[in-house]
Amino acid sequence: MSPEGRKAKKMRKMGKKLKIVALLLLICLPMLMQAGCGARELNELVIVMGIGMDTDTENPDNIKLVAQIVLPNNIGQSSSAGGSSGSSEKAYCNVESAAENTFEAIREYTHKVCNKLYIAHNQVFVIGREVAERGIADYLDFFIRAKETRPTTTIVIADTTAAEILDVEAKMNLLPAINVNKLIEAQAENSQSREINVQDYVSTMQSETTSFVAPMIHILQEGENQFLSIKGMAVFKEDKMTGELDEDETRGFLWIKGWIESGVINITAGDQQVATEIVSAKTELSAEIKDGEIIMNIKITEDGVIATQTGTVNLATLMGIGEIEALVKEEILNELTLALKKAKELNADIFGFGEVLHQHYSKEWEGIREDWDTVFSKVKVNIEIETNISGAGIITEPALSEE
Amino acid sequence: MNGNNEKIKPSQLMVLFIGFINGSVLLLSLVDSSMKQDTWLVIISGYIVSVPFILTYIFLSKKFPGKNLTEINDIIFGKALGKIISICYIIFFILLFSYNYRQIVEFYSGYILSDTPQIILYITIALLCAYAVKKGIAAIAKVSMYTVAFAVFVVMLTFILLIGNMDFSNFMPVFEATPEDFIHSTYTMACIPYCEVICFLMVMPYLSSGKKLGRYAIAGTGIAMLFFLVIIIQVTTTLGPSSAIFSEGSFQSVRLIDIGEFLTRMELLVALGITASMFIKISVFKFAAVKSVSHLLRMKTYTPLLLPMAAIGIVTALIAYGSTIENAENANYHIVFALPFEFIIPPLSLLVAKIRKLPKKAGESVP
Repeated sequence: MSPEGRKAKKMRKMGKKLKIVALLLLICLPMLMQAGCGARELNELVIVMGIGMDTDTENPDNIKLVAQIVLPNNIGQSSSAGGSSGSSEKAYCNVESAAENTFEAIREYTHKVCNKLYIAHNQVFVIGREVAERGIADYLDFFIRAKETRPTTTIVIADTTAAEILDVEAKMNLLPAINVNKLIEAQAENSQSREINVQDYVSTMQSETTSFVAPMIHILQEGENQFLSIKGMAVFKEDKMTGELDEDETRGFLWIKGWIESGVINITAGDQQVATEIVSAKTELSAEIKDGEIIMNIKITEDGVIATQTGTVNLATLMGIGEIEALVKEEILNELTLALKKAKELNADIFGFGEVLHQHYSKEWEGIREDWDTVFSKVKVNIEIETNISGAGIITEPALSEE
Repeated sequence: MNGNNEKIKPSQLMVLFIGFINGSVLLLSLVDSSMKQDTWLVIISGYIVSVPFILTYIFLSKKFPGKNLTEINDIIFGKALGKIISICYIIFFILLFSYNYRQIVEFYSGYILSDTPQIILYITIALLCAYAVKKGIAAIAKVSMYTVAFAVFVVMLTFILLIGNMDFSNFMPVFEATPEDFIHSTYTMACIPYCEVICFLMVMPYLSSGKKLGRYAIAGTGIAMLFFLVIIIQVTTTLGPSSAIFSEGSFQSVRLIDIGEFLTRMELLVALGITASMFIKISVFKFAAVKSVSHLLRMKTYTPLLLPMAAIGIVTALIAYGSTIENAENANYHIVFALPFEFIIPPLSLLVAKIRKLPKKAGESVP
């Protein structure tokens, strides 16, 4: 082999080596940048499961945040102790921080806990009543802007202060925040309140007319024990809470929104009590403008089963079912009326009537949108309800029957 | 050994078109912020506007088979003017790939690697694309097959998982945007994702055959449009009017996925899809840029240009604008800047070629 040939071979070999080195570098670079920069070690994370918002009693201009921080070391202990209360065994601690704005308050925590708060796992925002009445937009802005916040984080309005809610010991779950979140989720079974999350808040605020609603949480005192209970919903005008819907009004509201998933409807047929379970429900909402009058058409189709009855007269007959269907219809109508009345009283378009009108009458909407507040209370509502009882469980008549 | 001169098939070009246009998916939220629920209309109208222009590019390359954009400019406009136009195009290509550097880096540092110094991200993406371009357009075309497949998978998966969150009444009322907004957004759509395929005029000489080229190009752009449509349907139905305020609608909507508290945090998949598509886009731009420079300087190979070009791209990207807020504004200037390169010079070239009766048959000398 000539010297040139050998040289060329050597060069080629070197080229190959260089290539491998370059390739390795290319693979290593992304790894380096992922691990090296801004990595947070698990044992140093300050994991926040719930955030409460209250007003600061000392300085009314300030916001007070309550962060529920997980104490991972105590998780094993408290579960082995059967969840018995003892402050040293709690799997969480609530730390408060007050500052002029949310971000400052969040950063204030570094004075109290050993690292920045890690809010990516935050489950719930509990907003104290006072804050809700003063306006929530300024406080939520930070969390919506922060990329760590999940848009599916739930929002709940406390009847008292958020700090109290987050301090109620959970019986079923280790952490109060998770307890609150699970409670909210369970509301779908009863349809007397509903889960509302950050994305719902953002969407509602984008609408000019729709009012925001969020579930209310209360503390029930039973002797020594405290329980949390979610019932009804808070109604907002823009970002300020102006009123409350009770259970029946909430149900009516959920009927109109088409958000009913399940629930119990109680009726009295003669001297007999019947409870029916809602199996499925569908709502069609449409708008109509007739002779300058705005009419909202609500069409509800409900499907239910008899869950229980009192008395000995079998109601699971064609006659009985017909009667029950009519009574259920009446009950639903009653709930709707209550909700509509309350909404008009508060002058809050919680149903999104304005948006429906906007979607179908976008030209006429231009003239209406400005004074929707006054128009809303004059909107006529056409209600059409269809109920159907499709079953009565696994028996055909009550065990203690007349015959 | 060196894949630089490997040929690609027209069908591969179609896939490359899809991958390339998909790389502009981040742009959708820009259009979305002014069009809201009418964005889907703009995606379609932008495509319709683009079709004749894309056909012009294809026709131009068919008229001068085996010639790339710089050579075509030389033939049509003469040596001197042709060179000037080619230099303008080079600047255009460099700007395009550096904007895209900037965009992908900002996406990464905004959503995923927020504490990583941006320069690390710039260097990584620049080296990666330089490596791809070194391997040649055929290699990029092959990779694009996988990135497109991956993107289809991600889009379909997230779409299916989000069906429960969708509310189709969010599309109402149709046509609420003002005509000015509509025209502006249509033009933006035509200018940025679709007609940026002008840089494929540098790729055309690598085609193994020119058969049905127009059909493949239009189909590729059309499939990319369908892609955009699926994404925007997902965004509009899940986020509703709020999609306008999120800087990355497609990303935000996927964050809503929460199925049984188990299937959640799928956004990384979307980020990977966006990365893959943008990689193809930047690589093609970079290929066009280095290829035209090497032609201009009469170099045998463009390999020595790759790293200097990456450096130029990074610096341009860093000084292009000050903030993400300025970026949105910048896009409005960019579409004016791109006007001659995408919509004026190519048809003009065809016209001049027609008047000068080009291309001349062999033997005749160009005056």
